[in-house]
Amino acid sequence: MRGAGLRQILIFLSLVVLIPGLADGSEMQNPMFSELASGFDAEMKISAYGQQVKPSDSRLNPDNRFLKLSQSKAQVELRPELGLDFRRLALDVSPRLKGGWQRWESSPDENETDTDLESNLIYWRARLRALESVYISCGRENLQWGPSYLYSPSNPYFKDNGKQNPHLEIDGMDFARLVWLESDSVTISLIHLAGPGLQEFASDSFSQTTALKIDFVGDSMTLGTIVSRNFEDHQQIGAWGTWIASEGLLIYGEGALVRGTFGRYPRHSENVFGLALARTNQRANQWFPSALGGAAYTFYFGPTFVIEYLYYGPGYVNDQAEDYDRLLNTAKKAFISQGPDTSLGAQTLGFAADKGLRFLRQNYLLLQVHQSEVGNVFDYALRWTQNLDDGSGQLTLNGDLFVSDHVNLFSVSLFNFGRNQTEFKEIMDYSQMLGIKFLF
Amino acid sequence: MEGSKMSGGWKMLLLLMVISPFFGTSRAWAQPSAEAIIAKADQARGNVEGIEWTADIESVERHRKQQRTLIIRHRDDNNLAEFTSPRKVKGRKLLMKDRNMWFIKPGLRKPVPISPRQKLIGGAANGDIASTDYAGDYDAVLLGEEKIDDQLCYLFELTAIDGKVTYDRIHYWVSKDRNVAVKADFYTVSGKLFKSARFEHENWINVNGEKLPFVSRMIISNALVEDDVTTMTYSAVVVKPIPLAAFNLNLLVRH
Repeated sequence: MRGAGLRQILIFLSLVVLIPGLADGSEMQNPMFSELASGFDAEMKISAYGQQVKPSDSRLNPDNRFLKLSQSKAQVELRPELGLDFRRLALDVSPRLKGGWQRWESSPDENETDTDLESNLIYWRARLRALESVYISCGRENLQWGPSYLYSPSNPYFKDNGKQNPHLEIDGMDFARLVWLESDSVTISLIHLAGPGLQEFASDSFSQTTALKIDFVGDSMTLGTIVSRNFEDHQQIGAWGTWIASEGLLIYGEGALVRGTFGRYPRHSENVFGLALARTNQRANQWFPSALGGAAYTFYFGPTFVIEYLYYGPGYVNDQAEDYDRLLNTAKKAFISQGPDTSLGAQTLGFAADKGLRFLRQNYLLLQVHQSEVGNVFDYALRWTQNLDDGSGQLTLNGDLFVSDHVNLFSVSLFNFGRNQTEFKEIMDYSQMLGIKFLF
Repeated sequence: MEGSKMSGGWKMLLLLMVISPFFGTSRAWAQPSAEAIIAKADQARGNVEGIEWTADIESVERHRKQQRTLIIRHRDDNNLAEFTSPRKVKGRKLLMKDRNMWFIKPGLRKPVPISPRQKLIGGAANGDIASTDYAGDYDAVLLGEEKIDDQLCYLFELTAIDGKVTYDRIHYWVSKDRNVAVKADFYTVSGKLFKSARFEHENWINVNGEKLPFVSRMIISNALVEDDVTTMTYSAVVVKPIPLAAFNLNLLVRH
């Protein structure tokens, strides 16, 4: 059992027991205890799910021999949420306890199983109202903004915006923030990423990053911009905006300019493959643009239809994609041959599996239809993501059924389509998650 | 019932009366001047630093009954609705700043911008729970006078100015005696009756020493499905200062 956050969890579990207890006892006479008790809030979710995965037999993961994805997985998670609002101070803590089981069904690990028990502090935050309109906070957070579903290019901190599978939590990172409410319309935030928190940086070396973010809210529109710089002199300028075009139509956009990239790109090499994946642009002065445009229309009868187009500048252009295809085919052959070049093949596949890019190519289209509270008990989202460059696509189906006020059944299905050498078919053919959530 | 374009004075009277179905005034004006009404409107709304109320929503849709409780906070053009029960929706928040809306769901750290048309529950759209500024959003024509439940009412036709509001056209009945909304019929672009609402104003708030009526119940009926009814009951109405931070997206998401 990993116990990095165990001590903090115990402290806050003690608070859970102590504060309501104090409120019921004689200390209730003390106005401060009464104030503490009224500002305390505790909730608990228990999430249990099973997941079935069919790895694709691709050049990146031939016969699942390289990535060795488990085909069956089950997990139970305890997700307490604790909060305390006390005068100028607000504390929030989200400890987690997770127990997991997984099983491999294909060679070379056929019928092997593994179990895991883990505890951590996925999120926490302490926030102080320093002045009437100035808030200072520190903690482990998942900071998200902007209107887009597919990807939030303006966010220099998190590549995943959590929209694809809302039942999996994104690990928090350690931030310090200063938020100044300049007016009802303008908010200025200074954000410093101080540590990786629970995020793993397999190939990207973590770097502290400081950003200045400005939000503006108008009558029927919002605008935002963020300028960031990390300790390796990486710079990014991002912006986003929404416009209520009519009562049912929302039009939005989001974009970023990034100087340099952590991504790995194919380049000529002296090795036996003649090509290698390398961080050729990491220190370059080249600016990479990304831009997303989208619209969401809500029909009178309920569903909302979303369309988004993404241009992802750091993605591979055609020449790079062709080199990447050649390199992966060579690396795959070397890896499965168990000959002298096996280790180079494995290293190349490893770099390919973790390229440091959110998308492989540059042009993407998202179509989505979603609706909440169907019959007041059912939420659904049906999403198609199309890689316009290599023709592969991904279908995602999310469903949430509230069978009672305290029990929620959910499913997340993901199907990939296209040739085996395309982006969405690189890792898996499909995955299916079924779960149940208890709310207390 | 004779339709006539409204004069400036009548339009200002309507402005005060329909500035929201939530607010009312305690007096009627026989021949009000525009200046007096503007001054009255400023007095009624301008100095309120915040108002909070509890909304119990009960919806019957296809014979299925659902209940939600929300705490709604309002200041200027800001509204925040926070679901408090049942447990399955507890912690969900709906933030409205002018016409911009966001939905914040516990567990999803990214607020989702949404349109006013998206459904809240049953027959209530998101736009229904806000104290909508009808006067700013609609052109009004006085159609005449009608009795609703023995109350003599003005009947106005409101037409959306720019299509950014929840409804394209509204027939709106306002009590002559109390200057509060009594009934509204909502129409789609194609002219079909979409839903109807009835209002009761049995709550009272004290603003700058003046007692003003405040909506206590809103009953929304689906015009197409007779049995589908959504009842919003408003209680615990409190006028109190609410800081602007309560409506700031950067501070609302818990992590």
